[in-house]
Amino acid sequence: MPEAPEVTEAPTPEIENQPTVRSDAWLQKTGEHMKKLPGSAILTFLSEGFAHWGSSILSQLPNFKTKFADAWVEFMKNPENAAKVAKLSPEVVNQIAPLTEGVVTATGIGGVLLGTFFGWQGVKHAPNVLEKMIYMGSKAALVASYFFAPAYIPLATGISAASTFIGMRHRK
Amino acid sequence: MLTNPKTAIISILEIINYQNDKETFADKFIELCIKQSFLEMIGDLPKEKVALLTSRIKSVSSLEQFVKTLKEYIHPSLLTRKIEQVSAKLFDAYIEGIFQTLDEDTKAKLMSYLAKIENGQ
Repeated sequence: MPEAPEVTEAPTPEIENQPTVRSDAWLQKTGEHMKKLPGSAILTFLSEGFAHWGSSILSQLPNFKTKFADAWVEFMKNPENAAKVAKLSPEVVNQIAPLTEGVVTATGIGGVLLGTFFGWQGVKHAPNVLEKMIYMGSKAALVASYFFAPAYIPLATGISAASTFIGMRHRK
Repeated sequence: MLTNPKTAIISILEIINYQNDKETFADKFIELCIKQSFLEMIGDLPKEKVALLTSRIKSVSSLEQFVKTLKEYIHPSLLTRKIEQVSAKLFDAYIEGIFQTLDEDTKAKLMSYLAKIENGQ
């Protein structure tokens, strides 16, 4: 008697993760919308004309090491800060040295070192700690940091405010 | 104490089980907030000033010059306020955009996390 043919199930199609799909679509749509706003040509400088931001900034800031040293002294006068920094690896501390003017304040440097500025969890696994730590991956944030430091505060305030509205709408 | 925005966005992506690179998404989100803030500030300027600013920016050769030029048109305290408004608006829009894709359990976790952000935890 011939053997029954092997029954193989058709592979089930991958079920798309909707939050992922929707998140990526939202990001793309919002980015596209921005390109239509007047003045968007100005921001192409950030993404296209500024390829070597690291070296160009450092070359423009002859006094950054002095400022860093002064701010560092102030920062370390606080015993709590000193204790936290003592736990950081030397590699991290060395990589923080060439910081830009935007974060050369006691608060900024302290924030960077403590990881509160840029999110320590993300930084810990970054191949290039300095690159990840300084700009949150965003050149636009660098520009914002020239206007005020630390730049994350109004962003954080906005997100906090939005959390309130969202909570009010959806809380049962 | 305010929650670091990148940390907050990554935490939310973890809650909703976002599958792609969370750090990249968070970076892009933050970049959008800041860029849109600048654009809205520029958009509030009279047309002649926007044209002048655009032509001046084309000839800058460094970030320092770029910022110096922008500062002549955009006041830092106004920009701060604008970033707060825009980031609130975009964050709200994003959460609302994905909310209906979440199951009840995830929605509850998300709401709980947002309450922590609200309370500065």
